Amino acid sequence: MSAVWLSLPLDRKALKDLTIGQWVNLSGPVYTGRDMALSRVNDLLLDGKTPPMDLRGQLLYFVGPTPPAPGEAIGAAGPTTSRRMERFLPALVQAGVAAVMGKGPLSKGAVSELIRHGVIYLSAAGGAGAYYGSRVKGSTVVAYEELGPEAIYCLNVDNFPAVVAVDLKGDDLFEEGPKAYRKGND
Amino acid sequence: MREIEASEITAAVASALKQINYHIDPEMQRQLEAAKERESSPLGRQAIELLLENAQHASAGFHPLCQDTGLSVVQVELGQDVHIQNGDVSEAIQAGVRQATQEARLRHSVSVHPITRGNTGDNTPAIIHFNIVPGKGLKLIVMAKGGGCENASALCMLPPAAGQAGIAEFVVQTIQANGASACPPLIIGVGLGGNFETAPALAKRALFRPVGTPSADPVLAELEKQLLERINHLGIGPQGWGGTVTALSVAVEAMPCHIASMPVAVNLECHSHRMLEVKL
Repeated sequence: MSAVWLSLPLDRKALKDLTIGQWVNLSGPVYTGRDMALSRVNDLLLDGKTPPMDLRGQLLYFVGPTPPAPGEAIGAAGPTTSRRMERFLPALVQAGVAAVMGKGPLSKGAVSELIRHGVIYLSAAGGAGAYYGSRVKGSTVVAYEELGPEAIYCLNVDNFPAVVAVDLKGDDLFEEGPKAYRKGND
Repeated sequence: MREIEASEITAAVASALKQINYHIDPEMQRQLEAAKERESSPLGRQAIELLLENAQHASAGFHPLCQDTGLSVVQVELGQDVHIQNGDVSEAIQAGVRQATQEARLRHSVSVHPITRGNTGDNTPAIIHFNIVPGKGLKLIVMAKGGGCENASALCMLPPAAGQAGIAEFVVQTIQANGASACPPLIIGVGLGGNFETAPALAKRALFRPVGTPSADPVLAELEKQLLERINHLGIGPQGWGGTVTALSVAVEAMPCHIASMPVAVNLECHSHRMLEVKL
């Protein structure tokens, strides 16, 4: 599979040529977040307060990793369901997030929210936690350590593959991909 | 009367959870390899290839197959001529979950309370289903069930007149609505009949059936075949990126129900399908 190499944090100029269905290979720091932590970040942003990390130009990855084996940066670290994070997207994109990554489709409303703010959505392969974990070279807890796997981590990823699922033209892989293979009236 | 030590149950549960979180089930490996061959979408084939590579990584023992190491579900078939000694059978199972969580570095994936949340810190309590059966055997089916695919599951109390067409429509619509978030290629368990609480339990039990084995009931076997075909015609494909392999198998279990009811439950299972049967 030929892939586009993307360095993190993202240069927004590099995003405009990406097309749904294209593989990207990510290298650099990503912030993690899921249900509990993003709920707290969302509350802070809505209250006009400063979140624990500067989200401008960042890739936010929806993941709750397993603890690392001795000598490893992290355990398994594949994506969690993005749809659950939709409620936080308006505040997150306002705060300058350049891309979000998770698994599964987003609603039409969430997709338009992303496009309006020039934010892309990357789909990592759900259930490939070991593969992805092995491509994390460093990990630090940024905030909410008490949440355990739900804390916000900064993961330093290397050669980390994902597929462009929503591009800046407004196309959505979860709509367009299945259309080509759908049969009958189901 | 046969005697089994509670500590044997703890050891069996811990060992099963360690095994299934790091080592893909050989049948699932075969299923994914075959799915890669028949998948029409290049992106779908690449997704499956990545999952096979993932299984290889996990087997080295450093990273579990999936970061969602799951909520443990344990189905117990306890022979009525068995006496468990030196311990409480439920606690013995919970102790096994606790042990595996620590020794296999499983994620702490269980909230203390649905509203106030928090984390139990050791993945207990496991969900345990007891069945008392004749004989001196003790069988444990240990499953690590992911939250994403569990969230995609659904129950519907259909009127009997909805018939087989109504059942099929509900199952297919559930996959259409939620399947892409549940880590396809999926395994689908359907529970028919019983009542409001047994239909979901039957759907879960359907997932325990070896993948690809049809029901012994010809009506259900035919329904399974039709459902699998319709679901794969949805085009969702591996990861929801589009393709011809959305599900690997559909298993339907049924039981008698009230003349007014036709409960249908659909339990979705991801491609990791981490499950092991242990006989003591």
